[in-house]
Parts: sequence; C-alpha cells; structure tokens
Amino acid sequence: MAAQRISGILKNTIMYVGLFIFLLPFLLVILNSFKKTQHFIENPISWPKSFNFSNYVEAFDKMNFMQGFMNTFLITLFSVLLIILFAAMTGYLFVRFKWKVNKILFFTMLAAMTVPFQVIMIPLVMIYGNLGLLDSKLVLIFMYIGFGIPLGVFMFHGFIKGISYELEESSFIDGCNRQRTFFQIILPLLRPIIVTLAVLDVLWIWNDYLLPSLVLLSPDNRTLPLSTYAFFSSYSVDYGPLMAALVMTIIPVLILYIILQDYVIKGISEGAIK
Amino acid sequence: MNKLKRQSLLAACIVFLLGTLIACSSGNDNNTAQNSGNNSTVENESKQSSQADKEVKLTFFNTSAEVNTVFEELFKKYKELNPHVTIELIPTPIGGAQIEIFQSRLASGNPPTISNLDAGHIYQYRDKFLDLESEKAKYEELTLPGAVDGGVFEGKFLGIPWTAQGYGLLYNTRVVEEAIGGTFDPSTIRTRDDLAALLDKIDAAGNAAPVMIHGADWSLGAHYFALGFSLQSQNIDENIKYWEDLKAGNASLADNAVFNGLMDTFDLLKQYNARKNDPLVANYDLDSADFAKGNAALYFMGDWTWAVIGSMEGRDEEFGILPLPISNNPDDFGNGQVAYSQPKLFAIDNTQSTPEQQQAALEFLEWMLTSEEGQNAIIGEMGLMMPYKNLKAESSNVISKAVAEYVAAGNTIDISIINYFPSDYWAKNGASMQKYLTNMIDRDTFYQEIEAYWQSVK
Amino acid sequence: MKKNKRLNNVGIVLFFFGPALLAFEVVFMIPFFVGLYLTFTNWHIINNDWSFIGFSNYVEVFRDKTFLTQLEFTIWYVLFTVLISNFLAFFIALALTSGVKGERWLRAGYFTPNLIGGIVLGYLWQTLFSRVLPFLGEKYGWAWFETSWLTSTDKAFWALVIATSWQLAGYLMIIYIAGFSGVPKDVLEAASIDGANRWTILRKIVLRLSVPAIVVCIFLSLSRSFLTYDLNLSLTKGGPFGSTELATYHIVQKAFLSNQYAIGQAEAIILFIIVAAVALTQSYLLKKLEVEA
Repeated sequence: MAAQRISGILKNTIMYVGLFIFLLPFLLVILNSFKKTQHFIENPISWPKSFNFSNYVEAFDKMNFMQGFMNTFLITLFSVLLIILFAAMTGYLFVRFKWKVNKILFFTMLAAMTVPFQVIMIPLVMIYGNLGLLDSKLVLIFMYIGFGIPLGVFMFHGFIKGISYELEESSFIDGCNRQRTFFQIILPLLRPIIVTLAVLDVLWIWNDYLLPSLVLLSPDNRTLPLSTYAFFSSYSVDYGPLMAALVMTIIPVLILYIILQDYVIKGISEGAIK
Repeated sequence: MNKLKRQSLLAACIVFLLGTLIACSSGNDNNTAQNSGNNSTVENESKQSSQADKEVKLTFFNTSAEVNTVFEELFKKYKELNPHVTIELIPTPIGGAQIEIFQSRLASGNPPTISNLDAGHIYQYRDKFLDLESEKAKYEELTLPGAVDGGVFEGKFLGIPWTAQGYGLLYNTRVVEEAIGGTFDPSTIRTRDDLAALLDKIDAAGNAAPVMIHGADWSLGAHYFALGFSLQSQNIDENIKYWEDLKAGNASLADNAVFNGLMDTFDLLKQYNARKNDPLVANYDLDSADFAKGNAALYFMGDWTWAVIGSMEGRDEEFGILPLPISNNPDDFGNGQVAYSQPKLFAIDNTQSTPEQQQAALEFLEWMLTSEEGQNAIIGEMGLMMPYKNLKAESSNVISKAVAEYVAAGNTIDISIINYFPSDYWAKNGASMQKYLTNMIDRDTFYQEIEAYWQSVK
Repeated sequence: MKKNKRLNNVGIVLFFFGPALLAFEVVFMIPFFVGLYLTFTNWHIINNDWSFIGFSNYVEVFRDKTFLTQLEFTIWYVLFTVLISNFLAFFIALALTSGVKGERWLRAGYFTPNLIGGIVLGYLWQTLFSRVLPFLGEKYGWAWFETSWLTSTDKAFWALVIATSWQLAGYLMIIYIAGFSGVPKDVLEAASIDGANRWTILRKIVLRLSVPAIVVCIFLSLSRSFLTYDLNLSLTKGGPFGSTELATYHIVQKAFLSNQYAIGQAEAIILFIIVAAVALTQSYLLKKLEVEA
C-alpha cells in the first residue's frame, strides 16, 4: 500500500515536470509577447523589462482583431457543427448497413485522408474560381465539411461499432423509425466522441492558413491566421506583436477546451458504470 | 448473393445520381448567397460596365512583404484622392509560398490587377501581363538611364521599375576605423590582398569579428555565387552565352578565372567569418543586428537590410559598401563595382482585367511613383532606393546612399542575367555553397555539383 | 413488402449519407480526379496545356533521384515520429485519466502545443534550437547544444522529429482520452501505478480495450507526419543543404518553384499511394486484434 502511494506521488511529480518541459516553447511565446522584437532577437530567454501590453495593442490594431475573430468564429462554429452532424449520420449508416458500396465509400474516405493537399489545391481553386464561387464564407464552410467528413466518419465508425444493437432494437419495437432512433438513442451516446471530434476540428479550422488564403479573397473576409501576415516580411518576422497575436488567437480555443473537457471526463465515468 | 449485388449496385447508382443532383442545386444556392453578399472581381466587372459612376476595384499582389502596411496606407491615401478607385492588398506569406498563392490566383481566374514580383517571375509569366509599350517613353523620361531596360523582356515592356538595390561587402565605419586607426577610404580596397590586409587588421584589433557571412541559401546561392555569371563580362549577352555554354557542358567552372577568383575570395572570407563555429545558423535578424552594433565589421549583404537595422536601438550610425574584390588586379571588372539590380517590378494583368481596371492601375502606379506622397512612402518609410530622376524625398537609408554613389559614377555590375534563371537555382546553388562553407566538400566537388545542376536545367 | 423495405432503406441511406457524400464528392473527389488527370498532361499555369501525354511524368518521377532519397528520409522521419508521439500520447492520456491532482489543468496544459499552428510553430522551434539551446549550451558547457541542431544533417532530422512529436502528442492524447472512456477507471488506475500486475493489466485489458483509439491515432499520426509541410518550411527550410527536405516539401518546390507542376503532381500521387497503403494496412491489421479481443 505504501509502495503504491509513493508510486502515486512519483506519477504526480513526473506529470508536472513533464508538463513544464512540454510547455517550454509556449512559455517562450508568453515571455516574448511582452518584449520588443529587437530584444527577442538579441536574447530570447531574458526576462521582459516590464509587462506592458503594447505588443498586444499593436497586434490588435494591425490585424483588425475583432473582424478577424468574428470571421474565424462563424466559419469554425458552422463548419464544426455540420461536420459532426453529417459525419455521425454517415458513420452510423456505415456501421448498420454493411453493404459493399458502403465499404468502398468508407475505404475511399480513409484513403482521402492521406492525399497531400497539393494534389487538389490547384484543381480546387480552378473549379470554384471559374464558377465564381470563391471569396465566400459559405463556400469555405462547405469545403471544410467536405474535407472534414472523412476524419469524422472514421472516428464515429469506430465508436458506434462498440454500441450494442439491442438498444436500437428495443427502440424499433417501441415504434420509432431509424431517424428518431438515431437522434434519440444513438447521438446522446456519442457524446465523448462528439466532444473529441469538436476539439480536433476546432483546432484545425481555427488555425488553418492555406485553405482560407486560397478561398477568401477580400480583406473583409480574412480570418485570424490570415491577419497575422502583418507581422511577416520576406526575410524576417516581427516577433513581438506576432507572439502577442498568437496568445490572443489561442486563448479562445483554450477556454473552449477547458469547458468541453468536462464532457469527455463525464463520458469516461459513465463508461465505467456500464 | 446475386440479390445483394443488384441491391448495392442500385443503391450506388441512386446515391451517385442524387449526389450529383444536389451538387448542382447546392452550387446555385452558394452562387446566390454570394451574389447578395460578396463581390468577386468578375461580378465587379459586370457592375462596372452597367453603372455610370465607374467604381473600379483593383487588387495588388505584394511579394515585398516587409512593406505591406506602407502600401496599404498608400491605397487609403489614393482612395481619398480618387474615391472611385478601391485597391486591395493581397498579402503573401513568408518565403516560397508566395508564388504558390500567385499561381492559385491565376488558376482560379482571379489574377491580381497589379503584381509586385521578382523580375524573374515576370519573365516566366510574361504571357499573362500587359505590354506597356504606350507607357515606355514616359517612364524612360522619368527614370534613370537603363532602368526601363530592366523591365523589358523579349522586346516587350512588361514591368515598371520602382526600386533598386545594391549589394556587396557592407562595412561598419566605426569598427573599421577603430581597427585601422584613422579615416577609412573605401577606394583603398581594390584587390583581394587589400581586403586580406584589412581583415587581418580588424582581427588583430580584436574588438569585432572581421566579416559576417550570412549562411542562408539565398544569400550564398543568389547573391554570392551567381555574381560569377554577371562578372564574366560587362555585356549581358556575353554572360548569357557563358551560361548557355555551362548548361550545354561546353564550359568548365574550374577553367574560369572569374569563378576561381570569386571562390578564392570566399575562402578568405570564410577564414575570418564571425559565424565560423556554426556557419549555417543564418539568423537574418541576428546577423544584421550584430553588424549594426559593431560585433562584425563587414557583412556580405545589401542595402535592403536597412529594414531591419534602421529602427534598431543602440546601433552604430555610419555604414558603407565595398566592392567584392575577386582578383589582385585593381582594374578587373568587379573589383571597383557593386552589384546593382531592380529586383522587383510592377506588372499589370492582361488575362481577366478590364481595360478600365488596367487604366486605373496605370494611373495609380504613376501617382505612386511620381507624387511626393508616393516617393515619401517608398524612399522615406520603406527605406528603398528609387531609380528615378528628380526625387522629391530624402532617404534615411545610409547604405543605399552609399550604393547610390557607385550608381552615379556608373560603377555597377548588371546582374539581370539572374532573371533568366529557373526559380529554384538559388536553393540548389545555395545548398552546394553551404556544403563548401562548412568544408564538407572541396572546390572540385563543389564545381561538379554546380555543373551537374546547370546541365540538368533545360 | 420486400420491395417496400428496400425503398425505405434507400431513403434512409440518402437521409443519413446524402449531405456528407455531397460535400465529399464536390469538394474532394472531383478536384482529386482533375488533379489525377493533370499528371497525364504537361499542364502548367503558364501554358494551360490539357492534352494527354500518357505516363511520361511517372517515368520522370522514378528518374528523380532526389525525390527517391527524400522519400526514404521521409519514411525514417515518419517511423520515429509515429512511435514517439503515440508512446508519449498514450502514457500521458493514461496518467491523466487515472486520477492525478489537477487533472483538468494538466490536460489543458498538455493540449496547449496544438494551439500553435504550423508555420509559427516552426519559427518557435527554430528559435529554440538555434538560439536558446546553443545559448544554454555555451553557458553550461553542454557540448551537445553548443551549435545549433539545425545546421547539422543528423541533428536537424531529430529536431524535426522532436518538434512534430511534441505537437502530435497533445493531439493524439485527446483521442486516447476519449478511447479510454470504455475502460473502467480502477483498471486505468491500476495500470498507471507501479504494481505487481501492472504490465499484465496494461497489456491484457487497457491495450485491448483501446484498440479503436490506437487504430485512429496511428492512422492519423501516419498521414499527418507523411504530409508534413509547414513545419518543414519554417523550421529547417529543407536545410542544411537540402538534407531535411521531406517528400511534401520537395513536391511543393517541384510543382511551384521549379515550374514542373505535372511532375510534382505525379510525385504527390505516388506519395499518396504509399501513405494510403501503409495507413490502411496498419488499420486492417490492428482491427483484426480488436475482433480477437
């Protein structure tokens, strides 16, 4: 018993020391977001002379933060919601209808995740550009759904397989059709995986640079990652404000994760009861 | 089994058909949403022709990322003067991804109206740009002699020059003068031996590293090594001929006095390199800062580095530029000249833009290049040199002023041969230079690698 | 009756699958096939030439020795990245689901590296490897860090592996945490604390029960590390002297800088085939384990 307690303490210590090492690069960001770029270049690990927020103010201004934030927020919100809904439905279908065509489609989607984006980049802008469909947040959301579906289906597929069919059968006996069964019985069970997928997809879409840079043409549509261009130059980077911009871009997602992770934990304890 | 097959086949067909059907209607949905909300260039064009007030929207693709904000300020000012013209900046990410974005713009049918590109890229995309023949006489009048020629490709005037750069061995005046104990006259360094003596003195003084070699591939490959092609002769056609010979395998670098001299000088610099311990670290900001603060006396770089050191705290005040001596004969070409070029040009799209847009773009460019506001922004704020006559603004860039003296005296090396090189040449030649810099390969192997690369170029 | 049921089924299929299939087809499949077609042409934005030329681009790919060596380099990189990141993520997730003080904050902390996107992440690590570590190395005489890792071909490789694993570990951790939701908590606790039967529990119960998560994680880490581009661009720029160019980096250079778009595209297709083969084979093999368990 005593040995176990020591082992427990050891585990705690290791996790905290590990965390510190893990977060070092990130601490570097916070530290330098309070320094002038020149001071960062001369010594990236010196303590800032004072904790003033001038980099934050400059970044906020230069990147038109509020507009970028709203654009990023809307695009991320709708893309993630729709990806989750459609992917859950498709994943369910693939598990419950074991047709050959479904297997082929599932396989295709898996394979799609391994395609280098460069393969489709030029054809994509060529097709959508010539149809006059670029420079629209709606189209961007639609594209995120298309690119996000495979991962979602993949994750739901694995999870739904573990749900026993008996639950659904009793619901059918009660007279529910498939649609109702799905929304009332299955979807609530998927909560841990929904939250996980939401976190992964938010991460991806919130930080994505390449796709928005191809699709969103006008300045009014720019997302946060696009707005950080203001701190890059051809051979060098204006680190001070860039670090501040990074911190400001990160915080919303971090808060979201801290809120959402409780649902994952809940899922775990429920799993334990089962 | 059979039934199952038929069933799945049927399902597949229907799914696919319906998918396509919804695809079309959804496409329309998006289209209407787009019409009501945003406007792409194409729609804007149709609007222009129908409306009387002639609203014009221009897009501006900028590869000089460090001056994005200065351009944006200029667009705003121009809008105040000409309310019907809106100019949007297309910012580019750092590094190689710039040309990716440019290509995707062309592919999507949304090319930028005005592009600020490397001269080499304008040559590559020459079919996409407007021939500015009608403007040529005007710009020849406005610019310094020879400037317009830099924008002429295969007989067509495609790129309007707006900035010029020079590079060579920059020096920190304070450090050099402390080392030699007196006033430094740059014209005393005309041979490799002169340079060796100077480096030795600085080294002996011990206050600073004698020379900074920036270990990045673009500096080593494009600015250092490729200089050898431009130094073959003062006549660019001769340079091109040598290059063609090299590609065809008819010329050998080891037999070429210019390249041997250039590499001998490189050996000398290598010996005194401030980054001797870790030559490839290549932190541009840090290297420039060390030079500006006097931790290194010489720096193989160009006047553009002012963008980094101009605003630095605690830097030295006076800097100058030396030619890079490649032999011990003071009269050899290159020993008294600095490399000089017009790296970026403005070109106007000729694939999707309307005549109104092209006209508006030309008017804007002329305003930017000739008005006091425009010149103030380019010279004063960007710290660049303009190859124009009767400038209305004064530069704060000490290094470009030093370059301008060589330009005025006609002591420049025309490096425009690099405009004809493929866009990966600096990365490939730079990689070989890096190996040579770290003594991984000797001169012979180095020449072989370089020759192999050029022979592989079609 | 039977016919009715079949129609009903088709309706269900369309309801459940329609929206996803539509988006997937229109956004992904169509551009993909256009892209595939382009590998059989000489297409480039400059010439816009769509005529079919057969397999000659693929022949070129196998003549491109640099691409082949870089492919090998990429495979080593992927191997180490996948192993290290999954190992780290698995044990972090295990520790963080089995009762550690301040679990919430620890999780958020280990998750944070993901929040920094590709290009910027590379600059950050570049600063760390070329400035911070040499600075500390000189100060304390650690010979290992005295010169920048990014200027030596071997150490630059490890720099890439470390930076990628660092970021991937936090990402995969989230999936492992979700995967453990099927494992009872006391089992997790026993597996994470030293004890007589710790390894048996880990192997027989935890590993078996989390096979679905492992399949997903290995699949994702494989495809993500095979397709690394941003980090490569900003951390090493392929240097020193082109020794750390990963396959995707080479493809982008070829397609957009060397103006050989169609050959670059063909190389991308080859890369795709390799990644798909590796990733799908591992899922297939691992899924067999799941059935047994």
